[in-house]
Amino acid sequence: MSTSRTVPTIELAAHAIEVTKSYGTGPAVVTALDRVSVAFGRGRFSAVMGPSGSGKSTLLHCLAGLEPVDRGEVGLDGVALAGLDERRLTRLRRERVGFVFQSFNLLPTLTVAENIELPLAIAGRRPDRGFLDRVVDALGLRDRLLHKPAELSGGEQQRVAAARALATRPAVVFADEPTGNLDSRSGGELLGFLRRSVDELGQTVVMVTHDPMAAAHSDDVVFLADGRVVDRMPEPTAAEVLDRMKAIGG
Amino acid sequence: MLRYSVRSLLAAKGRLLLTAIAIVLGVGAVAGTFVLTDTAGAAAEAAYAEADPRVDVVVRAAPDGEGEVFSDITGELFAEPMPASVVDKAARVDGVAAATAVISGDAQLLGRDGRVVGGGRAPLGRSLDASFAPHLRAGRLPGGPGEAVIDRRTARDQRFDVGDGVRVVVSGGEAQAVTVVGVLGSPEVSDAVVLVGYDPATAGRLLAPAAGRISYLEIHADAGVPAPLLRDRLTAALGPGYQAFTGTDLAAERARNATPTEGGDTQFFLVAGVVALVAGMILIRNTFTIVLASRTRELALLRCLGASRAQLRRSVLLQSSIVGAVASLAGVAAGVGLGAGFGALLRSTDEAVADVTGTIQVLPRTVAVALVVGIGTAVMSAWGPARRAGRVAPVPALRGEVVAAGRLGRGRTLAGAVLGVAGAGLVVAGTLASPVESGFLLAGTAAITLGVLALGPALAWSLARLLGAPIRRVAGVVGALASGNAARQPRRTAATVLPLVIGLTLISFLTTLAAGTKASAAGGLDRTLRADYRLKAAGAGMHQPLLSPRVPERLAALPELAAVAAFSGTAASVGGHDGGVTAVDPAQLPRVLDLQVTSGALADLTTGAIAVSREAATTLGLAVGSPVTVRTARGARVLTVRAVYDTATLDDFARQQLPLADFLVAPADHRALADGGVTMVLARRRDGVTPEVARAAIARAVADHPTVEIASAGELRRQATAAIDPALRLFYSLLGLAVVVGLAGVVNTLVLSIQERARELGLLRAVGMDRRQVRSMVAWEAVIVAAIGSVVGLGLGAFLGWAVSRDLDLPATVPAGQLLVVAVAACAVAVLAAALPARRAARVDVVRAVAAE
Repeated sequence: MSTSRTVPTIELAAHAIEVTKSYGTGPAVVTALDRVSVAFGRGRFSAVMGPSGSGKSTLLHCLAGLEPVDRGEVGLDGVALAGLDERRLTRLRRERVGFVFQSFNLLPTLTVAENIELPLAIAGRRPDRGFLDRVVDALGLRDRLLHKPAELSGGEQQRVAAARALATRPAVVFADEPTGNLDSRSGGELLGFLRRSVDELGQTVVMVTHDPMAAAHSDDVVFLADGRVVDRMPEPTAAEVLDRMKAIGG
Repeated sequence: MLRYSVRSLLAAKGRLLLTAIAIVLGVGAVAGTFVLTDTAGAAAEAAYAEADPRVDVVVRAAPDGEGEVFSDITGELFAEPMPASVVDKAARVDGVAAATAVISGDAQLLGRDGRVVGGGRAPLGRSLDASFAPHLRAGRLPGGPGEAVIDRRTARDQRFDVGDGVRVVVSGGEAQAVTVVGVLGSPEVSDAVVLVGYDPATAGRLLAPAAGRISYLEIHADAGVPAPLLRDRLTAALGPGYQAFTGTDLAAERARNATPTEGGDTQFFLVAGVVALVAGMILIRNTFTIVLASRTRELALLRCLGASRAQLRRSVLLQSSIVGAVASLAGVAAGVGLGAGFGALLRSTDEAVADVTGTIQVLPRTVAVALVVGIGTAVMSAWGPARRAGRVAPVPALRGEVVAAGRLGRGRTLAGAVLGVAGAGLVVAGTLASPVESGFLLAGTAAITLGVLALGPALAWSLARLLGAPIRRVAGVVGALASGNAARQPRRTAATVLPLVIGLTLISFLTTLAAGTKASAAGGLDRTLRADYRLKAAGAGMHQPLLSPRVPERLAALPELAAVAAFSGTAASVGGHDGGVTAVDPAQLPRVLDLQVTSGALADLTTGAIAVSREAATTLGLAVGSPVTVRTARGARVLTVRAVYDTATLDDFARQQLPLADFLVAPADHRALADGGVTMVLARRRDGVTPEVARAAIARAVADHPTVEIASAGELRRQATAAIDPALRLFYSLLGLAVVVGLAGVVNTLVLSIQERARELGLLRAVGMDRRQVRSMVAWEAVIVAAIGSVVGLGLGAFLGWAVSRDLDLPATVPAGQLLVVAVAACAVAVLAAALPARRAARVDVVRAVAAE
């Protein structure tokens, strides 16, 4: 089920070993992650599924270094996150992680082009024009570059977010319910693009979702329930995922 | 609803506290004015009204048959001398127990440092008779030459005591050693006077204006004779040319004068209060707007639960009146401190006479006014936001669909632009017209003000973009985000920056005007003054102490000097108008002063001639050849106008430095009209003598005259240009306060914006922005907002200052360097002020921000 301690981390884009994370204190304590061990290989599109409160978003935040863990070990692109200070974590995110959130991915004051290049600009890195052009064209954003986010549809906004996530060629793109606010067509397009980024660019994508249709685009699915890994499913289909979710009680 | 109002008020207490400070300051200034005035008034009443007047009636000379009640013992210095024979005449009046001659004059006490005591306090030497005995705090009255009594304040300040040897300069001469035999503390001798009291015989010898002349008369009545009756009898007996007052009238006048009701100091307080309140109004309005915007969902929920519009509106107004009431009470407390503190300051500056040592007076009226002003301000400022709160549409707001309006009203922008351009056009047209059209200036200023208010959001938006451009280049994406954020809600930015704009407009206006005034003073002196040195006796204020006649004599003997002119001044009635008459040797005058003569010639200023300034000539209808009567207490002379000169190039500040009056006469005529000695000496260096050598020679020549002050032309120039500095400093500190309040508003808005943008900040942090970058982003935003305020405020102020300078005939110069310093300072303070919101922004919880749905 879960990967063992002896996994050679160098082949993994991200991993967690025996990670425990809880919120609150005393009787109000909520254990979000309970000794979770999980690994995501390079160049793969992985999905994390589970019912509400299963800890899937917390897992993603811990893997991305947004939240410290109580116990256990987290590695990102071969770097152990334990003991990194705030500045190093920020730099690590900036250089090796891309994010696509469910909503509110874009800064309203910046144009589409500026939003896409934002992580590069923050890092003070020169953008790789050729690569960015490929991404922009693949996402069909060419004629939207000078628009403000408010002038874009929801689907377009998420595509811009995806472009931004890819712009730095990160070790991992973490997507947190990226299709949660989209209609099925726009969602399908976005997932198709994420799939292509894995297949054509060799990108690693870890996606949290509760939508079996979305999970079906991935190479394998990790199921969480009550803060524990309860199952894995390679080469999932929507129907199989749906069945498994029903079994878990999601 | 009441509970809700109070709870939500408490929830925002930090923010409201910040804005309430403006009300506290404003109400504090207003209450402070009342406290100061009431306290000083009560103290003055206690000091003067209860005291039994030392004398029953005072008689003074009034050459024109009219005169004012002496308001202070310093009034004695302006007394026209009278013949000593009046004493006997008055003594014979029925009911007079004793008529005592008072002799007063220039006697300047030297302090322990060898310099004249007092600064701005007036020196007074006078005779003291036995009636002063009850007012002695220590020692006894002077009994002969070499003995003197000094006042209580001087004794305290200089640590002089009975038995100490002190030095006194009489009429600008050499210092004389006297022994302090007593210390006088009487309501008549206010803290504004440095007293040297002699026995009547010594005073007569040292201070008498001329042989056989006295300064004025003090009358003691027979028992049972009322003072008013005696006053009337004396007036009748002495005839025209004399005037009598009762001692009670004098005391009342002193009490009135010691109360600073009409002084500029208290008006300044009121202006400060109004400025703070205006800034406070805008701040409170902004705070309520923003607080309510961030609570739109909450308000919508209340509406869904059945709260009516009126209830929501009342709830906001209730909250604002609570803020106003709390702030007003704090303001009263601040006002008490301010009143007491300012009173102490007044006493320490030697300048004023307000006595606030008594019980601090906080009348119910003060508290009532403070509450009305404070609550009124708060409720008025919350009115607009309260109406908007009532209009929240329940369901869309609950869904979070209502976004704060960030659009620019096109009509508003257009109207603002038209008004602004038309106003500027009016001002320019009015200014360039000859003579300047003040009406155009006023109308134009009003139009510009309205225009800028209407244009506010559009200006804020475009300036944020414009000023953001260089910042983008310097600070990259951080700068781009900052400028985007500043331009994001132009209405909010405009409202936030308004108090800053007001403060900076006034600062810039004053600075421009001050620069013009200084240039005018310096230019006038440069054009007129040919002398290299001015000598006068130490001492400021209404009465200029005299120089010894030996000072010009010794200077005239110096080979280092090419010209020496001694000026003597006296007050006189010229052609029925009060004016200053100055006497000078016509041969020396053109060598030290270059007066522009419009008709006649100053060389004709021989005995029997008078030169008249153009203003006075116009007022009195005089021209070369006209006869005019000059009258003083000593007598009258009919003189013929021989020259008219123009002093228009000299402004008041330049004129104060020079011995110029509206009338110039020859020394012989002056001696016939007045007893006065030399008031000023102007001297010119001989060519080829270095300034150091000439100055050293002058200093040696007057070394034994300790009251003489030597000033070079350059020093006079500096004194003239520095004359407005104390007033400027006062205004700058007040306006600085307004700017600080304005910056507090900027911080307030930033804190709220950051709260609103928590998710954006979280996103930025998630995609790799570090805390330092977040902090600098917020700081840049503050800089952009402050820069918007600086550009608009300083630009507007400089423009209006330029126009008004032209209107006042001042050299119209825009002090760009100084204004730039102000702008940089405002931006720097903005960065400091932004530290708190910046830290908050950097601390945003990334996970909560990005995960929040």
